[in-house]
Amino acid sequence: MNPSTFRLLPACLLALAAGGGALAASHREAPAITATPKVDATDLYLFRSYEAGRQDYVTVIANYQPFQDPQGGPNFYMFDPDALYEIHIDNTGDAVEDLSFQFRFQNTSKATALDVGGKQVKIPLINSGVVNGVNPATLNVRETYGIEVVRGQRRTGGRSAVTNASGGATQFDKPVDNIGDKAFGGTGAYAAYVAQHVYSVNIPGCGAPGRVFVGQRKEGFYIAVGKVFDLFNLDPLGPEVGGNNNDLEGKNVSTIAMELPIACLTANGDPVIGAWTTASLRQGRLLNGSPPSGLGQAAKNGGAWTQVSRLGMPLVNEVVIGLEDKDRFNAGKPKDDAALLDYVTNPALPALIQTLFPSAVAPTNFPRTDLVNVFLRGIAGLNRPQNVTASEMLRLNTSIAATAAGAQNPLGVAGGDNAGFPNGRRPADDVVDLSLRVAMGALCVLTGPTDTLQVGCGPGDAPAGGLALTDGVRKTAANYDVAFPYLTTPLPGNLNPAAAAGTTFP
Amino acid sequence: MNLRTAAALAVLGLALSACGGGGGGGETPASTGSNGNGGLDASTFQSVDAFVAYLRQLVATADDTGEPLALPDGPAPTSDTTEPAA
Repeated sequence: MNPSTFRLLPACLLALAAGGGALAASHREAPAITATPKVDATDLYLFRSYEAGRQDYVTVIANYQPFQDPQGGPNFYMFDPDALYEIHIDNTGDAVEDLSFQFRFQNTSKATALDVGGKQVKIPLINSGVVNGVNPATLNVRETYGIEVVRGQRRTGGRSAVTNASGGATQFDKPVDNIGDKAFGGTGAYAAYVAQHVYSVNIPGCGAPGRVFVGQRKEGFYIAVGKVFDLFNLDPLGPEVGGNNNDLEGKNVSTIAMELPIACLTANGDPVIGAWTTASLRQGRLLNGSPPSGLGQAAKNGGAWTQVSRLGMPLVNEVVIGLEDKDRFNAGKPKDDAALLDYVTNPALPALIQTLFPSAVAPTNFPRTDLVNVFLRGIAGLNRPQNVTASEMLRLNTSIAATAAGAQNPLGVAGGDNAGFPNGRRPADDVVDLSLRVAMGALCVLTGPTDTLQVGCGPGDAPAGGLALTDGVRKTAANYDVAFPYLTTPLPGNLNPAAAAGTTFP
Repeated sequence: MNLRTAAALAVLGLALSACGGGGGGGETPASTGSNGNGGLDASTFQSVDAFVAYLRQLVATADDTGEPLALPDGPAPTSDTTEPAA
């Protein structure tokens, strides 16, 4: 297939996208989760910390609540106090969590009131003045969270509280979202405010403290997602850098970030760990037809925790799992992934591309062992556990040293940088381009005729596997912070950007 | 007030996932729902099993004309150690 022929391919990709969900890492990817955005996991990052002096740590970042407009007051984007957010670690390769970090949130109102004509009247906002420091009087609604570490099965394993290394508290303050520059005392003040909410924590069972940050960040994921929805209205063989604008550049996201000692995460001498994040709601909810005054009175939630969101490797539930099974995937556990194996061994996306555009030949190796390896087992010699049960999660070989920010290649392993995707995932890794290429058989080409990557296919199986498919959006580590929590300061609510070209406002 | 009418008076959001496992023992029969005074019977909140059993019956009904039942004081029963009811 020549490049001009291949330019027809995007339309096919789009036809698939229209029936199979968004090509955003995990933003509104499944039918049911669109109704509960507070528990919608959007991205998971897992990498050796590349902040100076933190080489003995792994950073894991779980993002939630997609497509946040910075102006979304007065409540902005608090976590759901009736939900359970978790980050799971499998360090034995058996597709079952060995460690889970569980986050529960709580909102407390100060019921700030003003004297209005002799009556005390509660204000309608979450702040009553300039906010600085931790939980100042001007912050009308305080959002706090607790963390528990569970060793063993996530519901029945032994649990203990993660504590503040300074003072031993078990509750932590989450900084209020970036309401706007004035609300924090001026441009740049929000970063200083947030810095007071990065905690050094003691984790029972770990020999060294870790760090935790929970709060709003600028959306780190990048993609020309609107063009993808519009029948892949872009040139997939165009410029990889600067070919299109990042549609998420004006969005924020809610981040749960932990930096954990490597020694605390690995087990049995195996340096490979797997990670995934989940969010769960109580199984039953009764809406209150006449709620009393106060926060959290609009419904009563009861029953067992019921998982509604799951995310490991990016894009799996978006472009791999069929539409009818996306809710099922979100409720599932890695150990049960065999039930959805056909989506990986016999993926629909490349087949549809070939059906619609016969010159865009899909890989011919079935089962698609290359996809099984990268998504379900890890690549041999890179990030495959010593004993592995096929299951979907993000796997990191913690023995591979981090690449300094300035030397990182956003194409990760494919770009000669083994500290990047699919060996874990860093903020700048271009998982959109990489996933498109892998779907069309890039691993079959990379492995060469002798199959050095042991992925079970070769270049002859993937006629389109060598194409530099791209959405035209690319970032580098320079677009992110070089210190924990790496994702950058969220856009302020007062941003008030100019109208996009071609649009007219009154 | 019969069961169907009483149950339909409440508004419900319920996700009964099929994750297997019980709710921590045998499930008790659902209450009739209403306490006779426009409120939900407190027995519905006595255990996870009673709560789930009530919700099961509620979601099997539909009432386009009734008002929601007032909810009992206190939190709904929860479990951090059991799997969702099938």
